Amino acid sequence: MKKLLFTMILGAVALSSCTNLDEEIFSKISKENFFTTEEQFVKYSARAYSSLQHWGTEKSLWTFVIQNTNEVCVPVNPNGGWWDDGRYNDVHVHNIPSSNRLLEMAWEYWTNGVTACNDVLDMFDSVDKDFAAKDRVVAEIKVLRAYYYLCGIDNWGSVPYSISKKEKGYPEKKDRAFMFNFIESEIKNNIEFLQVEPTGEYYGRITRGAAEAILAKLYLNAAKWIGKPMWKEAEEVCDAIIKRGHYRLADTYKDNFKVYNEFSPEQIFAIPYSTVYTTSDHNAFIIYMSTLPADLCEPLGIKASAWDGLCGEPDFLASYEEGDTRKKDTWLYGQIYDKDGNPVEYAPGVPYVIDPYMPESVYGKDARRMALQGARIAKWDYQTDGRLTGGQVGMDNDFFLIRYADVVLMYVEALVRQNRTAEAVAVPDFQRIRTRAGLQPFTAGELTLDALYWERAHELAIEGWQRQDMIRFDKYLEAWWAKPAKEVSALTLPYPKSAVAANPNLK
Amino acid sequence: MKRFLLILAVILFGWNGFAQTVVIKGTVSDENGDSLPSATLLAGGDYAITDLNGHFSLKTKTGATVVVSYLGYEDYIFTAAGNISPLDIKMKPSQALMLEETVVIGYGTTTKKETTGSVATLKAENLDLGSFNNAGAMLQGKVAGLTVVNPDGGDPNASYQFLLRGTNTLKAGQGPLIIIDGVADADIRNINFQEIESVDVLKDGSAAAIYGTRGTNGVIIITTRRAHSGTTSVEYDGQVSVQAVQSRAMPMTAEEFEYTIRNYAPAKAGSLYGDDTDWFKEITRTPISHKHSLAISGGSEQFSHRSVINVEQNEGLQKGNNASKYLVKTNIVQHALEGWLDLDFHLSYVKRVANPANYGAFRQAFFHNPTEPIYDETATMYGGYFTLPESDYQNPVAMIGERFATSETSTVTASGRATLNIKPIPGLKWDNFLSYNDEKYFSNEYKTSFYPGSVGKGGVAYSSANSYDNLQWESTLQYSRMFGDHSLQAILGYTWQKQMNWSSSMENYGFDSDFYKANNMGIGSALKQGLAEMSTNRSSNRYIAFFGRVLWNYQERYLASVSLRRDGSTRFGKDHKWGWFPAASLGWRISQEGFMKDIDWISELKLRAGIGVTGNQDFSNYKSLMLMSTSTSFYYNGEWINSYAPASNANPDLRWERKTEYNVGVDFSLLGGRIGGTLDYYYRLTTDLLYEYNVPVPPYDYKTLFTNVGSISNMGVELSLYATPVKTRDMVWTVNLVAAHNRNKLISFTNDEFQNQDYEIGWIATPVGAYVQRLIEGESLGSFYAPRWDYTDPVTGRDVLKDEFAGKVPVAKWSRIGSAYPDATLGMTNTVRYHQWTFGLTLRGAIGGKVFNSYRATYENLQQIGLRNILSSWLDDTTYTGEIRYSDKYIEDATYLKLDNISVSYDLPYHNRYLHSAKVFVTGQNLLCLTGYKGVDPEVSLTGLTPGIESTSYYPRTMTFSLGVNMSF
Repeated sequence: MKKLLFTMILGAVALSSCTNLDEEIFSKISKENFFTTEEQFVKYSARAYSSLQHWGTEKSLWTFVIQNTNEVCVPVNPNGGWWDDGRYNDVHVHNIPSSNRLLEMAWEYWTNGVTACNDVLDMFDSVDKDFAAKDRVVAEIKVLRAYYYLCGIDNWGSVPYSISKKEKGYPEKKDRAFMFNFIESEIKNNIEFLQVEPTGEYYGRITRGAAEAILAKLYLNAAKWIGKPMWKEAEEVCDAIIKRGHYRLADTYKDNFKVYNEFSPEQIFAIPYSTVYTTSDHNAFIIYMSTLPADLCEPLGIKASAWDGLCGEPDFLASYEEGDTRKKDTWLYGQIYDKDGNPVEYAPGVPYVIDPYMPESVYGKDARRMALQGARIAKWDYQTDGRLTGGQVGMDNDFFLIRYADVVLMYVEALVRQNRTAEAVAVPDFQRIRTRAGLQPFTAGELTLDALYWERAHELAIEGWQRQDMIRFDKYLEAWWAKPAKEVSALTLPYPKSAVAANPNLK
Repeated sequence: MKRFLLILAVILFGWNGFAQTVVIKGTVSDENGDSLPSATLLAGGDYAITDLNGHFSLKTKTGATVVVSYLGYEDYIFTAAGNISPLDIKMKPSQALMLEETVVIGYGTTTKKETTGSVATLKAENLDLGSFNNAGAMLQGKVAGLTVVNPDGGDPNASYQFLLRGTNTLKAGQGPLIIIDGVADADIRNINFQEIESVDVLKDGSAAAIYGTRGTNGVIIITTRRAHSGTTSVEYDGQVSVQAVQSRAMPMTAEEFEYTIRNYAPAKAGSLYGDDTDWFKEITRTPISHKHSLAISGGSEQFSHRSVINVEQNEGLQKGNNASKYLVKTNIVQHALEGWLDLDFHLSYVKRVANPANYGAFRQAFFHNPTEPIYDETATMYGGYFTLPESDYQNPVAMIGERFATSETSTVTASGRATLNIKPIPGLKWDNFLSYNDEKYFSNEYKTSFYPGSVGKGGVAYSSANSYDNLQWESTLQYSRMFGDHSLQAILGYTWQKQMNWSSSMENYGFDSDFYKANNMGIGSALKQGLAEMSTNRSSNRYIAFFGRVLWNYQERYLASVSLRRDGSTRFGKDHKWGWFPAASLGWRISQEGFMKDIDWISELKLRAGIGVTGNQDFSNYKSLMLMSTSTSFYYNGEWINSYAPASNANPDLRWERKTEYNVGVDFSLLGGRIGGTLDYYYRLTTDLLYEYNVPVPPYDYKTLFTNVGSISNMGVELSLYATPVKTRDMVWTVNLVAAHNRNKLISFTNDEFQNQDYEIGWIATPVGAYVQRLIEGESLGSFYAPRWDYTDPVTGRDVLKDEFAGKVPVAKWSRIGSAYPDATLGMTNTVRYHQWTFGLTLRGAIGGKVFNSYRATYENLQQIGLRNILSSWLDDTTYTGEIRYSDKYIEDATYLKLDNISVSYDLPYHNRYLHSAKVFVTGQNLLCLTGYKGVDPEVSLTGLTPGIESTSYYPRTMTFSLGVNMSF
């Protein structure tokens, strides 16, 4: 009782400020208290980069585009899972309603990226403090924003245009030509401020090489996007990257996809991932969960029961040339071996042999794929140290959005498109890509556009560029495994319902 | 400090009065002079009862307060004197005297007859007998216009949702302000239901405006039983109860499942595993609960106390799901300084211990394949549980058996009220109330290495702790006085409240053994690997208000009340922190007029009218500020660093939701109080509605902005009736009836800035995949929209919808099916007293309203069978084999009539000086629901923006049978 009274009297004394309504803040921080050192500025700019991590999650622009092409399909699995109201099927057969969840998440990858870049740039603008590397960081973020917009026009054509959060109205819809010029000029205007040599400090950031490679992607697709071929510009910008000699092909194809692949000399623009730091549904690289069957986890050293969904498309698996080592380096099929190299059994006496060539009849709402059917994605090595424990625990492999082999192939394509095939087959790194995969070098006669298309498809399989490439090589509207031919309107994706609801200019 | 010593001295020495034993004799009779047998006389612990001729003889002490009670009559109270001649006590029928009943109106009290606002008052005797885990349940169907819903069925940890006079907000809180013994924002779970003395519900704006920004959703003021002078008395209440399932969704049995697959879906024969498992049965039990309460009270005129100990152990239907409560509470009343000072202390400690239910297990048990076995010895990786590793598909038995969860909430509440009666000015007093509430919550959960979904992680442990402090101070100057025919009651006050929250959580996994559970969390390997989680968070907010009110009446005939509150909250934008909340109401007691004198059959007739403005600030802290929080990590120069991002879209213009309410009403009492009631009509308009508006990203950082845009109205009629249809010497039958009708209308939802809104809401996940409701200006909230179902094509098995074009009905052609809100809600409480027996019967119902049957929509469909089970009722119409097509077929009428409570109690006619009274009772609660609805229960959550949608993660409804005893010594 005494204590109670004491508390009360004390309390009454404490109430001296009887009309003060200022908020007390404890677990978040205000702008004024935050921006004190240069390090804080860098930490703030990091959010523009960390938006990239969404790429490797279960539902992202990446998982959308690989299912939208001839690379990956998701038949209903043996237990009846993965139909989910046709959400995967719609993406596969190019009949995508605006309410499709995968579509929405794909859209959010690049729009959240643009938003983060805008916020960082505005913040730098509004805080009256300078630091040594400010020009470089600002240039990085502007080019990064150009990359996000490139994703936008690549897949959706016209996009809402907003470059500052201070403009609160509904962003206007701008067509590809406008955005093309914006992206081109942003990169050109900022490229001189960027780091030239890709040192370790700049791993995962926009360097000069990354900016040029993004520009190359823009020029390469100019014919399709704005009806103006720019092969020469593409050639020049790729040539500049090659000539500068900062990058080279890795000794083996697999070096690019190892668990600790950050030392690959091939990486130009990477998304670093970590088993520790990127482990949530918006930033974890968890392709192992989406593709592997549960019963293969333990043999492969994974302590999880994976979801058994994404499979390689049989036609794609069949398209590899005899002896192309990239097929085995990309897909899991045939006899499966455990992490120690011993053959795995499906049941006592029954070897675990996956048949990659399932018939179209396993696809559809009422059909089911059987166990041991369907190749699985194995391009990124699965770590066997027991740290992959399922859920959102992501893999440690970094994802190379753009690597040197892609630049070489873009360079070759630019030459071939300009009818300079003889020059193309003389590019040494191009032929090294072939020989690295255990194949014969191309002769000028063999290097047709079709051959080049498949070369890109196999070299860059499931790395996220196939949709753009299929459109550029006029393959996208054709029929393929369990997917009918489509009309031209399917070349761009619909706007997600939620985006239209938030911005009437997208109607 | 001086005052403190004084108080202490008074506490220590103030209560030894001298008292002599005395015997009081007399008779008790009714208003006509007829004697009343079995009337009780209670003087503290002393007790007497009248004989057949109404005679009594009571042995007690001089100075004791004697209370004479008889059902249907107002208590008669007198003080025992030394030499008293035989008393002739005339009892007055209680209905007539209800007018004198105290009504708590917030910062003061008045009487029923003087009330000008819409206030409903419930006394303990209006509440049902039975066994309640939550005192909120006792208010179901008792107050016209107050809807109390328990969406969580038989969960002993269930919370109740309150909805008063419709939905008045879009995104801010909908719960009324609950005040328990003066403490605002108190938790109704922290009281013992048997200790409730009265409940007052301030319904209209004119009554609630005195609580300003927290008055919009009404104010429920609960007063618990208090200390009274008298000799020591001891009361014991106890109940034992048992529950049984009243309703649940019925999946196919193994036999039906196999039959259906073999005959209608042979392609799915791969899902037949040959076993026969009733998953529901495997995870449930017959729960038995018991509750005990012991109260001791007594004291003198100067000092009195009441202390209660309450212990409850409640079992839930789900195995391992429990709730217990331990409560100790004391109230001390002290009068000191020769009438200058009144002191009133409450001190309580409540500990609630729960093993929370796993709701997901009920959902999984519903659709889990009944032909699967429970166990599979070969599945060593899964701990011997039969497992199909699909997402959202888990073995329910493993979910129960491999999870251990406990939570504990300890609450200390201390409050003190010191009232200084400034005696030189009669009627003037200065009242100070200080309360402190300290709640500590602590929870542990452990999922073993075989818990479905986290297999491989080596056991996952969670631990969290929360601390909530609520400090408030109220200081009021009150003056009440009669000036001839004028009566005046005025109050001027200041209130200050601070709420502080602190929370922490930890998660770790990778344990060497499941033995430790969450009791040795540091040793999990995830911590060493950097994969464990740890967080703490702290926030606080403050309210400040100045307020004043004047109540005036002339000859108790013309009544008026005017109040004004200036309210401030930290939660709003910096230019919108303060708001004005005025109110006024008038009353005219026509029955007091001279021209009414000759109309015998009207005993009371009063007209009331009021207007009041209230606000709502029930949302989270810091919404108006631009703050930054850590975002995802980024790899920078060889190490991972935190990145920072805006915490939310800040809205510096955030301001009050503002509700203006008009209320007119009539109070009447006829035939000498045999029948009476209240009729109210109200119109409430809420403007500056808060809602999470869709905004484009970019330029905004996040997809929604919390801002004030729209307006909403609610209009309704409420009727409360009481009657005593039978009143003889042997038997009294009383009936209380409440009925309410409310019409909700969303007036506007957009403005120039926020025009293009996503009006489709109520997303039902795949496989249904549809928005079932819409926000449409001019219509009610909770409006269901759907294509009309036409027929099931017997050839294709497909549902055919009206207006189909190319296999689809465009969203624009969907029809409005109706609103989730009922047209009328009803409640009826009957009490029949026959000699020593009392029978109670409570009915509750709703007429109209729609409910979306999620179970039928999702699971009464052949195509869903396979990995998952479906509803057994699909077999009733096997022609329907097509895919799920959302239509009005699944939006059903929610009309229902429920038998909430039946009770029989018997007052033992046996009393002596040790046992003063004893009552034994049997009750059945939630016994029956008459409805055409095909789902589990048509009474689903009506709060929130998407009311009327039955959840598929539900806890089954249970009936409760209890045996109880009340004894007084």
